Amino acid sequence: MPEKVAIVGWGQSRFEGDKKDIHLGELIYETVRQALADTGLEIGDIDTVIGASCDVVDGRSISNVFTAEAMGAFLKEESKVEEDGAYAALYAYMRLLTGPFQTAMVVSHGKISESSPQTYSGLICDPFLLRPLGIEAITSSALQACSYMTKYGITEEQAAKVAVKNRKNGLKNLNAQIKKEITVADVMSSPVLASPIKKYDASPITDGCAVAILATKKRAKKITDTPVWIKGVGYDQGLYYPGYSPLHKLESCEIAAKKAYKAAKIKNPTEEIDCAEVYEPFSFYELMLYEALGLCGEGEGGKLIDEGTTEFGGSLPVNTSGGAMCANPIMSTGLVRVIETAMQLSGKAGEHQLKNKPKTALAHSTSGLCMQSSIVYVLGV
Amino acid sequence: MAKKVAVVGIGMTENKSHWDCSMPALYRLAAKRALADAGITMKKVDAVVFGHSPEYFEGINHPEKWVGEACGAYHKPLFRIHTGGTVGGSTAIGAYYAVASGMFKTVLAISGNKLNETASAQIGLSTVYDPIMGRQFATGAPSAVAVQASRYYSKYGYTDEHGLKVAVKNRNNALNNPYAQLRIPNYTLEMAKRTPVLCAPLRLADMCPTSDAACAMIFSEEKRAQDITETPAWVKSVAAVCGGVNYVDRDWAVPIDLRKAAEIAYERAGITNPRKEIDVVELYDAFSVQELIWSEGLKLCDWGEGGKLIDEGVTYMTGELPVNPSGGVLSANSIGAAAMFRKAEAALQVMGKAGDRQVKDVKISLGHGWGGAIQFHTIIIFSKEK
Amino acid sequence: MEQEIELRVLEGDITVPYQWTPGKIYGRFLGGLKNKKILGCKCKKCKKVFVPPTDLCPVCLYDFDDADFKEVSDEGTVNSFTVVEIPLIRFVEYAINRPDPPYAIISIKLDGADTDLLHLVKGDENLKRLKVGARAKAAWRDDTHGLLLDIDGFNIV
Repeated sequence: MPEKVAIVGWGQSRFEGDKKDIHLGELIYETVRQALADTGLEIGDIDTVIGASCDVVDGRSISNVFTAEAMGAFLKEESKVEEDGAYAALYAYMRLLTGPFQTAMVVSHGKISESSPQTYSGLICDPFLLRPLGIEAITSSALQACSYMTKYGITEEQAAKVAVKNRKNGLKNLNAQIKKEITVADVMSSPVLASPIKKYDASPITDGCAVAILATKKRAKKITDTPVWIKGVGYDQGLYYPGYSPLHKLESCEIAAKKAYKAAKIKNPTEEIDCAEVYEPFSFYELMLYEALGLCGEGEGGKLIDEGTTEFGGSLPVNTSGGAMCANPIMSTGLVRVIETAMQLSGKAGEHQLKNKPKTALAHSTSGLCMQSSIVYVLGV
Repeated sequence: MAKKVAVVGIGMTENKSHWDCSMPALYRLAAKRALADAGITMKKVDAVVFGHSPEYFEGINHPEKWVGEACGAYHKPLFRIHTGGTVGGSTAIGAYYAVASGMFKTVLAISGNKLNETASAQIGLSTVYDPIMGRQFATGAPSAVAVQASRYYSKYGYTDEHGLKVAVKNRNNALNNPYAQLRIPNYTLEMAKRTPVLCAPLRLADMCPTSDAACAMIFSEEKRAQDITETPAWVKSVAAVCGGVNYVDRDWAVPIDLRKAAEIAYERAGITNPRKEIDVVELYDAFSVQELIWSEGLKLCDWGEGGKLIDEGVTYMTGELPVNPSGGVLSANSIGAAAMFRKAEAALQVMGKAGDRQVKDVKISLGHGWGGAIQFHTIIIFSKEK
Repeated sequence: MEQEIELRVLEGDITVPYQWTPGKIYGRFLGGLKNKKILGCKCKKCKKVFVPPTDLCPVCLYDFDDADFKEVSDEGTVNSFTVVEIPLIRFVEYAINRPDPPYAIISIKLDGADTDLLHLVKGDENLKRLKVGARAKAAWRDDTHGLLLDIDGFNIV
């Protein structure tokens, strides 16, 4: 994909478990102001706004009715994607490719503490086959973990290493919610939620908002000296009922990654990708994602973490921000992966900036039970 | 720059209580009909844009996950859009951008709801209101539109009879539409006036019914569109503009957000005199009075002249500019599909495939959608000529 | 004037009653359970037997019909499981016999099926013997209503 659209600025709210002191509208407004300040743009310079939020998270039907003004969308060409912000960014990208728009703002938000992650994910279940079993995010993910670990002999300690690595990375990230170093022993001795997933294998409950500003090539160069180009995007949705797909792999992610690599003309991801931000709501998912994204061979996710390849100082650092393990704002968490990737590429990651400046990086997000749907971005400078 | 895009296939389900099929099966029916209409299979479709209105209507969060594969989205990109009542329009516009951007060649847009799965759609609509300020006095959509109607009637000296005349016109049009739900033979103004007041000044006759339905449209880029059909409906322009709820000088009778959307859509389509240049309009008349208000927003007449359109017979099937030949939302409202039906009906009119509700010699048509707290508007303008 | 925030959180909930339509395929599958039979649908194109069935073969886009139903065994092999140790969600009122933790959710391939069914395993004895590859058989409730939980759970054999 030629360099046509760039990410030129962003804002992230502070991620907290329970933002009781701030109304949803204020949370959005503050973050939008932050993103505008980051680019030096005024709201009048934004041509189109794409929101990302969810009725069930907010406990509001048509969740953007009362937030659109805080998003800066008043009398603008606006739409809303009922998915993570990473998906909304793709819609913004498509709009920018058509001509009438030079700038687009993507605004994703959610105060999941006002609802609950279990309600959010449990209500994804159909009323006939899944809902009677009480399946939700933890249990459906646990079925995948069991299947993956059995198939390839991956151990719980290897999954725990992901939680340890990412929480260590999170110490340097100003936006992270969890700032506490833990050990593999801590993870292993934390209470079991649904085997093999334990408390410290899981991401926290997070409220937050993320905003990204995208621009066409012509405008991008006027806004910033460090535009981060969208080189390729891949998107795929797999089957719904978990029993219909092999649980030990992430099919939709594999296909999305292939599409993104093809668009970005990447032949050998392990060589060409310098760092990655992936959405790992549970620790073992990061190992499965290494495989699905082609960062290692089939069944080698455990080996990759054992060898330290994906650590901050490794040859292919993954989740330098601390990932979802350190903050998992539902509806924004994927856009945060995209923003964090852009921060690394533009050299603006601050305390957690990688030393040898990366040139090409990957961001991943997902939605649905068992990562039914996946989106993969290849970004570059 | 934008690729040229056309609608090449349309599939509709009947608007009614679909007690015989699941929600995935309902979407499936619309998708199959659209594919059959275009004469293609899902192999030719590169992505799906999926619309669905409030999750509380069916109690299913992210319904695109469960229902997506019934739309043929197996290992394809599937985009979910949600903008309330106008979601069908936003979904169609999403599909337009997906093709116009050059990312996909052929895209299926599909949107729907099964409102009969819930005990009352008004619970889902009352929860639109902010929980801290507003939900305490929310009584669904009628209360909000009743405020709008009072404001409009009093501002311009119209009466509730103006709204009822729209209801009678559209319900009679619905007799020509096999997909409409309310098809009442010999419906008269006297009958409409005898219906009870539900939320003053709105009577039962001023309101839309509760339907289950899905609608699907296939969007394709120029070359493929011409290969698929001899009668593509070319998209001249799209616009989706967001208004506000709480801005200080809001006048409910003056939809500045719709006016902005219309100005954008006309400019991009090269339309300078919409009343003359547009041959037929399908707009989102969930409540009768809204047809008059939206007509003003769409610049079919000046501000305050909406009532005259119906008085002078302009918008009747026999008039200068027929509005809602399908019977409109007043005759069928699934919410999720309703705004897409407007776009699909407008497309059918330029394709010349609108059956008994066809308006003669349509070259340019407009489909409108409304949603949210009376503040999201979508417009697509179709043309027979490329 | 001194400002005070009186209200920190406004408590509330949204209660909506539903009447979901199963339609032909889910309806017949659930009807089979009422008669203590597990039915699947065989795709005419890929020949796979989907248990439980959905409205269509999502891969071939073949719409299932009455003639495609086929009874499968109520015994099969566990492909994956998770033992739930904490209460997770409680909003499903019609899941009357869903147990308190610990209980397991399993992914089981029934004999004669080509897909996995998700269901439950309950009881200390069953949980002790639960592993990937274990054989399990449906434990039917005496009273059946045409619901997924007409199968109380699966017993390890």
